[in-house]
Amino acid sequence: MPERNAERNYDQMFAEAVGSVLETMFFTAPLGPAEDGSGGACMGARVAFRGIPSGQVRLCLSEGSAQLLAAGFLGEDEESLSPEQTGLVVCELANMLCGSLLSQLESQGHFDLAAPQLEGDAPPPLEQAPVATQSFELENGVLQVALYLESAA
Amino acid sequence: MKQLVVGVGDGGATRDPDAVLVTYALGSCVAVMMHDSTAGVAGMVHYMLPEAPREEAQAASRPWMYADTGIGELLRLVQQQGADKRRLTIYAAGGAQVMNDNSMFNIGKRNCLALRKALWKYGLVAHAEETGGTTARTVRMEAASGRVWLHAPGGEPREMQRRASSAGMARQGG
Amino acid sequence: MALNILIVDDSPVMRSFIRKAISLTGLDVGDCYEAGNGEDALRSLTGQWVDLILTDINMPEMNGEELIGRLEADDLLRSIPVIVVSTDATQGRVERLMTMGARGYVTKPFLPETLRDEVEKVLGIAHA
Repeated sequence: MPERNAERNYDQMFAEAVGSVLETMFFTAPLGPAEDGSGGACMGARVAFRGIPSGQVRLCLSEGSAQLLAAGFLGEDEESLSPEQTGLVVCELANMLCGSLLSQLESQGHFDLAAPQLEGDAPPPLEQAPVATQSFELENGVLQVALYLESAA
Repeated sequence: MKQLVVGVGDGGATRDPDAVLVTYALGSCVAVMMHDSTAGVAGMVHYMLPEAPREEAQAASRPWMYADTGIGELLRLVQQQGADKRRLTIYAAGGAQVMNDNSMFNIGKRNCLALRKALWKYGLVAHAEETGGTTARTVRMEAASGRVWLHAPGGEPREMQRRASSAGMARQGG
Repeated sequence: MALNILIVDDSPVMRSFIRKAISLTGLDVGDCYEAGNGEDALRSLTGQWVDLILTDINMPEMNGEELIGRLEADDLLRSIPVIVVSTDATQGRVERLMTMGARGYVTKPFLPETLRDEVEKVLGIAHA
């Protein structure tokens, strides 16, 4: 597959996954593309998966957007949410984004997803570069999503 | 029949059995109707925007303009007049993509998402919904019966049908 | 008669979402129990009876697939209808779980009304 087509496919995959997940359970939608790294301080989360291929999905979400999304998901006011609740919702967002992206990958068999994990202020560097990354402007911030795929042995 | 007009960015409720609540020109705006047949209470809000600004004063002074404060205010008002939240039948209409709004995230769509967000927040279910599309709508609700009619330009009025289930939502998009 | 429900998911916020969605179905819901994995779910079922189980697949300790297998292996527990609620929408997985005994399947993300429709459908089948 030509590299150009592969890039377009990842763009569509990301847009489809982010759009469907945010609209369905978080009652919001991306406002448009954003520049990578434009979100400022953010909450990170990652989900590892095993299958054909294996890999990870990582997201970085502006703190303001994280609170807004958590409030929408839980049906609560932002002011009433604890940081723990917001973190749990960000993890669930990562889980669903991972599942949605993987459902669009052509694969033999199924994927097993590990439990999503919040990343601290200094997330451990990965040895490989993502195959694709995209940033979306949201209300109150930015969502960056990256997909890492392990090379076949 | 006494016609009570709900204007753009406005809302209200009544226990007058002779009243018909009506709101016009629902383009990207959304109208939400609540009815409790046992208490004989009917209410309607016509909101324009999804979320009130964080500044307290602006939100408090014009609650009907926004989905989050408007739906909350309507719920409070109908309950104040004797409605029971568990008995409410809820309808929603509007949220169309109006002409020239080709932004990636148009107001009509944002208002529809805000509708769902507010209903979720307040623990409510829409029993019938006609949202989206490109057509501006006019909506009427009989206060006594709770029946709701939609009018679209050039079309015949048709009644919104509640989904026949234990708790229903029939959604029709234009 | 009120229905008792067991929600099995390792995410407490997802359990909360499902619980809220169920509360909006209009069904007469009695007790709503929660478990973080299949092991906890089976332990919970030794103490109370439920009329419906909603379970995720990917969970620690015991995943949803193994849980369904254990339920089907029990003469009493196999009668409880199970709906899978999971991010995994691959056809093979869905088919396998339905063959194993799941009565319904909802893919995350889902609209609250989608979950409601599946619950109503499954319980209608169960009561036929």
